[in-house]
Amino acid sequence: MNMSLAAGGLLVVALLWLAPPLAAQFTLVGKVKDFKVPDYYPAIPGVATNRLKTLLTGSNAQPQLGGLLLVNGLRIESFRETGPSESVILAPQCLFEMASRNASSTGRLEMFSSDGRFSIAGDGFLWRAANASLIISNRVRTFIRKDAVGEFDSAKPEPPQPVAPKP
Amino acid sequence: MKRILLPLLPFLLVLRLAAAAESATPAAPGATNAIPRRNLLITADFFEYNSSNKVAIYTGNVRVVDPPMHTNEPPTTITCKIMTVKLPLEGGKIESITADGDVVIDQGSSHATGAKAVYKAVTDFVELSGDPVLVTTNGTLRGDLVILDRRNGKLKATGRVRMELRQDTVGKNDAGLIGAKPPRPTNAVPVKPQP
Repeated sequence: MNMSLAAGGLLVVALLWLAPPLAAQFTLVGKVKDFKVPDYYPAIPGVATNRLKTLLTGSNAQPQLGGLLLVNGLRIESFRETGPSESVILAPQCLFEMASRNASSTGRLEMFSSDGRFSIAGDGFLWRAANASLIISNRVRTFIRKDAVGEFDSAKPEPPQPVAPKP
Repeated sequence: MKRILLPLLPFLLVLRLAAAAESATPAAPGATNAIPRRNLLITADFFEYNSSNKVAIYTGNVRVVDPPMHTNEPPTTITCKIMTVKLPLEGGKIESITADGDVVIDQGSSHATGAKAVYKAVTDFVELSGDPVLVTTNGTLRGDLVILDRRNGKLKATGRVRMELRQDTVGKNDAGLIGAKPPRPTNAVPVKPQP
């Protein structure tokens, strides 16, 4: 009994000792250009695999303390399960956590639906890859094209628009 | 202001809906707060979107500005505490928009309040509930539920309906609660009456 407890304890200690080096294998060193983190829908038997769910990219990424990466030129594109692009998120900069795959920033964010019907902008955000959720914490502005609200018949001709004078 | 209290009206009122005679000043081109024509603008302090159920929630100083289809009509503004927008699963049009808490809807001289307003794309109705009150220059409408039928341009009220019309509006051709739409400017030459 005592022997098995001791063996178990040794195993835990060994795992704890091994854990940091294992995690360190994924640590980035220096600046990485063309940073990419794809996320896929779960595979379904008989259905095409590698169906892209989200693709997070950055012009570059730099390691920070606490397992974070500073990503510049952030772009997150989300895809429907059927394949087409659904939305694109753009931000000048964010902190990305590899373990949770969360991206956050106190800075500006813009999001566009791929069909052009919605656009959202605001300051300060948290994007979670796990459920592809987005939180914007300040000064949220959303534009919704009227044909997305059901009142506008896109088949009707558009009334003439006033032309803005050029400076 | 003299008012007359009409007897209890039928449970379903169908009133002519028209925009108030108020002209909107188009936003200056290039202005910071200019709303692109035909775009609905929602502003808020906080936003949360979950792509798994396609629900977007706005909280804190929520304000919606819905520009008019015609330049001589005023925009519609909505303020509330929480707004929930249900987006379609496979793209396309919004399924529903729900405004909760101290809902205020303004269009020109028309003013509506209630605890909750729900827009559903299937019916194209806006349902105002929670002690809804609609006030216009012609009078006041109350009921358990006030329904705006956007597709057919009609206003309905159900349950404990109470309408007050200003006395000076009774008997006029445009004596609906919201009043008649102002005539659009035309280049046609008026026909002179025959002697």
